[in-house]
Amino acid sequence: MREVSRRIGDLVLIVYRLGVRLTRMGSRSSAPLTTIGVVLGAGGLSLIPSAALDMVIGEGHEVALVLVALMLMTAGLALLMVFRMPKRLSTDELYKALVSAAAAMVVAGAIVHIATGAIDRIDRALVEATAGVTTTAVSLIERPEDLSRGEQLFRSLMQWGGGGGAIVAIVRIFPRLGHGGLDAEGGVATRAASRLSPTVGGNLRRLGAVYFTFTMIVAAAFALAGMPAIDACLHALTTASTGGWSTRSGSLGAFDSAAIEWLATGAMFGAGLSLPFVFQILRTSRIGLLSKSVELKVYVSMTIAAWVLLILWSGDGSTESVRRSAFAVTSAMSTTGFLAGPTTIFDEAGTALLVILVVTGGMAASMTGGIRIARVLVLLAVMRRELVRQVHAASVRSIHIGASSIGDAAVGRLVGEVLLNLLVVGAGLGALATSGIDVRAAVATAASMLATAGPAYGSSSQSSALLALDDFGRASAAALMFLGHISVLPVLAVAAAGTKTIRRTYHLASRRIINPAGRR
Amino acid sequence: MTLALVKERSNSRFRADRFENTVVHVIGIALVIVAIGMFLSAMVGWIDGGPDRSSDTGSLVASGAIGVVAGGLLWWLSAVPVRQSPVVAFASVAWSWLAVSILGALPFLFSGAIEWAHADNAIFESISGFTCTGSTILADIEAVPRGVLFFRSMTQWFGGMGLIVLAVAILPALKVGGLELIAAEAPGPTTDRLDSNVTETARRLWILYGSVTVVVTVLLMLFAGASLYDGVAHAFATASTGGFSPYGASVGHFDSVAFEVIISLGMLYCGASFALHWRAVQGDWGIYGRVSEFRLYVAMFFVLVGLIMWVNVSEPFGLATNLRHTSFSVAAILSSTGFGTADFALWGPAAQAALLLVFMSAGMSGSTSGGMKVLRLQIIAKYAAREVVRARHPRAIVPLRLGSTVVPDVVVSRVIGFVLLYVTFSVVGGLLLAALGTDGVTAFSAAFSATGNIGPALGEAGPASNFLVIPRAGRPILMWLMLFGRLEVFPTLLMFAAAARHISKRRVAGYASVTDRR
Amino acid sequence: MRITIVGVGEVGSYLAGRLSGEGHDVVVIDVDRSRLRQIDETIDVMTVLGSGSSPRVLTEARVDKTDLLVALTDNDEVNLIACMQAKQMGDARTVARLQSKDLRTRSGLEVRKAIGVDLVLDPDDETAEEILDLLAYQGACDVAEMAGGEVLLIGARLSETAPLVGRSVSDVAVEFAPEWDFLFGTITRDRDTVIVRDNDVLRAHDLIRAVTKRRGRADLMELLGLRRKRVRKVLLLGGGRTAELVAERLEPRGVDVVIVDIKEERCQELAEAVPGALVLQGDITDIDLLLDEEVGSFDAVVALTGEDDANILACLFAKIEGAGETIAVVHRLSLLSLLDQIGIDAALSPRTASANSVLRFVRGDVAAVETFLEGDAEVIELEVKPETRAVGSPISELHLPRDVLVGAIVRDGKAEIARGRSVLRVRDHVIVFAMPEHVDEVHRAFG
Repeated sequence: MREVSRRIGDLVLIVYRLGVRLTRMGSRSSAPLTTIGVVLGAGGLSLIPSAALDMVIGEGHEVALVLVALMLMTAGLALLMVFRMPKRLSTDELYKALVSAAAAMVVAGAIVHIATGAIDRIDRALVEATAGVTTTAVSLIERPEDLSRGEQLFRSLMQWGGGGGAIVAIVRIFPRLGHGGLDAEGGVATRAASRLSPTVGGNLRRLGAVYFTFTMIVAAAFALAGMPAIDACLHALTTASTGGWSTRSGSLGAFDSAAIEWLATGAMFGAGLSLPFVFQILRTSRIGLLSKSVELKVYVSMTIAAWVLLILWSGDGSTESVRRSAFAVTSAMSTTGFLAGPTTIFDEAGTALLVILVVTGGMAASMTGGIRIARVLVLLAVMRRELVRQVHAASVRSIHIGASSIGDAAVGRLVGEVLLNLLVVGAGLGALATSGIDVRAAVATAASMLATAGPAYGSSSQSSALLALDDFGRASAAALMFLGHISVLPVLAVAAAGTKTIRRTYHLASRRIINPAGRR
Repeated sequence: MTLALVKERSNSRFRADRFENTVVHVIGIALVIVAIGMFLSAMVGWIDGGPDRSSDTGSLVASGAIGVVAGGLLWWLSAVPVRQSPVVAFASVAWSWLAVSILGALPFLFSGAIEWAHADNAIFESISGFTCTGSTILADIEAVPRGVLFFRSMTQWFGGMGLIVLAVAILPALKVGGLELIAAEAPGPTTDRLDSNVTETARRLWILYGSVTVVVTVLLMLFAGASLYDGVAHAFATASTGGFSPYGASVGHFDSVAFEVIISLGMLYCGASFALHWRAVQGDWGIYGRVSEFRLYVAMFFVLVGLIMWVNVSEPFGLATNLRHTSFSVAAILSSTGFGTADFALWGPAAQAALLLVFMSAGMSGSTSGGMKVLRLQIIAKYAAREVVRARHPRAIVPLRLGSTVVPDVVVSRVIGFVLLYVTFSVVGGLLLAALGTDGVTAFSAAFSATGNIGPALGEAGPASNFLVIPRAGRPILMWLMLFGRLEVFPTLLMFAAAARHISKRRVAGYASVTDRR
Repeated sequence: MRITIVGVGEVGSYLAGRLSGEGHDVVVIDVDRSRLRQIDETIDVMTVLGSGSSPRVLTEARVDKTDLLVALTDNDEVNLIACMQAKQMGDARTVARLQSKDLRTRSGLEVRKAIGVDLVLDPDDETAEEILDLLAYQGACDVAEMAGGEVLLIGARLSETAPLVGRSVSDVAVEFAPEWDFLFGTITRDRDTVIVRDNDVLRAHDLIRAVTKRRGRADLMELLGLRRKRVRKVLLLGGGRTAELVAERLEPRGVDVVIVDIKEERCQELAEAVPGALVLQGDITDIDLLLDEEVGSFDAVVALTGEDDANILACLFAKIEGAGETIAVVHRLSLLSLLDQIGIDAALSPRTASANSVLRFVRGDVAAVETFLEGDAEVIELEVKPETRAVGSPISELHLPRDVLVGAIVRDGKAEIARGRSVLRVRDHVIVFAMPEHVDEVHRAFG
């Protein structure tokens, strides 16, 4: 097993190095455009297996898929021929590259959906692709089983790629920015991710291997539990990435198999674990690490507590309600968004609990969305510190998770990000409420979209949340998903740079010619 | 208020043989003051003369007597130690609010307005009054004797009276949740330290507060044709931003534009900082323009009215009615008063979502309004914006400014702590209510309404309804949230800490005395 | 003239050198023994050890005999007390360096009058003004306003693409005749400065200094090959008082200002003092930081820390990255001539700016003096006095030395470029390029 995963890691590294080499071809230096080139190229490549699948099975869209693949690859290569990655990325370029990569993925995905006729309008295709890239389990396609197998594969790959992008962000970008700046024991967080190996490539190889292997194991398990082989693979892709798109309109519940649901529960729980943490345990075979991580303990106890509460509040004591509750809890916490059946079976309190779990999310440095547990712990510590300070004004306390202390700067960033998310949810709530759903649904949808979970709790299928909205509502939902997946700060930082330019232009235009030093 | 009196008393006389306990002492004073209010209400009930005049007056006099005896005893038996720790100050404020609320429940029970079997409802009503919230569990308000209803409005006025000193002088001096920022842009009659001149500050604020009440009463009587009883009762609830009305339909009962305009202006005035008002009354009218919190407060009012009118266009009423209902409702919610003219729980989802967001912010710091306060919203918005700058420039040093003053980091982190605690407890409260079987919107909006001391909620607990829709087990949660929000979060969390510390201190003191003897 | 200088730091020692070179009796007072010894060895001055605020020390320095006292310590109070005592002891004229804004501006007028301060100096403020001038004329390495701003003195190195390259001065003069708006004064080539003659041919990389009427400045800039672009983003490396002053003045004009300083507390102060500026904490020679902030995207980079080498390095790096204009503040004068050759656009020293003010004051009726960092030439502005031989005669008949050139004449606030046939009148202001050895002669001719 370990040998296999090492091989996979090497493969990941080779692909990464190839990618890096490709980014050195052009002559003009631009980080965003080079990244877009890479993304488009990779998007085109990922269409090839889809086209092949359609060709083998027949009755598919292989021609459209191949054409789009060629188009995307040409566009990507063209960009790579002209532009090259700067040797050193400034913070600004890093953000721009991140945002434009995600945007390029969205556009490529939308083109595919249009080309195969899965969706007829470009704005809807963009919303659909956003859901894919951001690993959110909502869809405008009511019956995914009507899509060709190739399209289904592409959609799953899109979510898987979106998740893979998150790994790159975790390894390559967030540590440099001190993003969410946590560093607790057991590798819960981002800086720990950069500490696995001295090189970026090494980190990517290791985490990529974990991601890849996890996907394969889940696929095999699903197949063993009786899912058709292709479905098993496709669902494994969307489980590992916490994407949650399914090939059936009834999501996983459509298979009507207790074994599959239990398996998915386990897989989703696993997807909520911190990747570097999992890697360390696998590498060192030290099970003792498990008991050392405070975050893990909280994660496990939260899962169990929520499960028990859900059974108590909404269940009827049957084995089915026990199973469905476990499924719903892990689906929410990992922000995957699979459904085992209509969530309308949960009462108000259960629904509210699920929304809160979605907001919490899984462990830091996992594939999940939401605030993530390590940061929730820090927030709690901040509250506690303020309470103590209220009594002992002079008290100096640093914030700890387990044994490791977290610097004030990191805490500031984290709190800032959470506050920004709160403001974004507030704005999203307002926008969604104008688009045809009631306040309750608006709150659930806004939270679920920002955490990239998907179905607003209380909805019966993955498509109902989006279909209930009007065009403006869908656009807002897409914006929320986008902000949620690549986190609010980078997007706002890029946007702020834009507004600054606008402001400056306005400022200058509104005055006559200014002599910058025209004193007297 | 009570603390100020405590200080004065403890300085004037010192009797070493008395039981030294600030909490008990403060409770005693508060009970006596409320009891006096009960006697006044009894007189009003007697003069007003309803059909059940005797039981009305009797219940109030009986409750008042209990209050005077109990409060007097506690007051007389206990003394205040010379040195105060902030924890004890917090705790005495929190406990006295609770004690007064229990006393305030008695008239409802004695008069039979609420059955003894539902004593918890009476306490809910009383807490809602003293915290200036205005959520009611009375299904048929008109059936309650008029004297008791007058007392009900008066509880809010008393609450506001304590609150205003608490908000302008005491909590800022204790640096609760970054409230010391009140003085950042406009140094008003605030005090830096508790023992400097709280008494003087309190006297000034009470004069202003009393004047506002009188002005609103007179305006209501002159221009809206209200009776003296109605005028005073509504002025009480307006000045304290409480929102109790002696009528089931609240302000809607009068169906008078003049009445609504006067009340709206009164609510907006009282939702703004009394520290500013005091400065303005001193002749410095420009202060309103200089303080960014006030500008934002006014801007929020107009923007919200505009937004909600816009989304309400689809509702089946004309532009004039739209303007009338929307502006009144926004003023009522923004000032955390919670009077109702229209049932906004029936408005469209967008209007409701907007109101729900206002539930959290509410009025200005230094006022009688509840919520997180505009000031804190400013701080967290700026904090978040600062993080955006820091994301782009990791090494940037960006001070957080309010107007032109720089806010120290310690203060900012207090505000952050406050906001996090506030939101967490409201959400947990909402979740518990939902767990008890309330529907989601009602549960969470009720929780936020209670923490923000607004009054009505959305969903089933809208302005036209009452809080009986919340299950009985859920109402204690709301009561606690009301106190929690009213006392700016920290005191209620520390009230138990003080008790625990008191016990441990006793023990330590015991050991110390033993060692001394050796 | 007998001159006492209190505090011989950077500005003081430079000034002492200049004044003693011009033949004045200079006494310097300082508390630092080693610094005094160093000055004693290099300059011909009398040194007195002690504080400038002490009556004993001042008496020892014979302040009662002195004509002028220049107090330049970095302590405002000491400077004021020294001035006060100088006034009381012997009614000397006084110059004080004052850093406190309150004391320097109108609010301090009464105090200054009571104490008897005749001229207020602030090297930081003057450096800041000079930086702002350089930013206004991008590409220029010297900028000075003379005669109340009617005449500008601009110095710049000719770029290879400048239209002037390869042409002689007379050639250019013919092209722009008869309306001359500017006049070339000196050419510096290979570290030698000469006063322009008609047949001089201009070459690329020559440093040209010219006077121009205000309305002719755009033409001149174009001829010199300078882009006249609006400055929108300025990076200030080093967050001292000068940086604060520059930022304060740029900020209201809509310029984005970024300041970098290494001390966290100072950053905090700056961020509070200049609300619009972005303040970063870091080392100015930290390449990572500079790259991260995209140093190349700035229209101007000004390095003004107290360390010459850091300033120079940072400017060089910025230039390589593509920053628009780089300005280095350099304290060691000997370095200045180097900078120009390695590609830093402009360099200035806090000491020359202040020294010019004092020189102007010492020379009395001269309204403005500009000395150049590396050159030996001076530009002098003076007023034509009655009963001098200049009154009523054309310039060509004044028989001035060959190395003296009259650049411009300002009459009743209107500037005119000087010609051979221009006739001078009483109270005209003339702006003259002269080598130092002829300064005395120029003074005799006009005033």
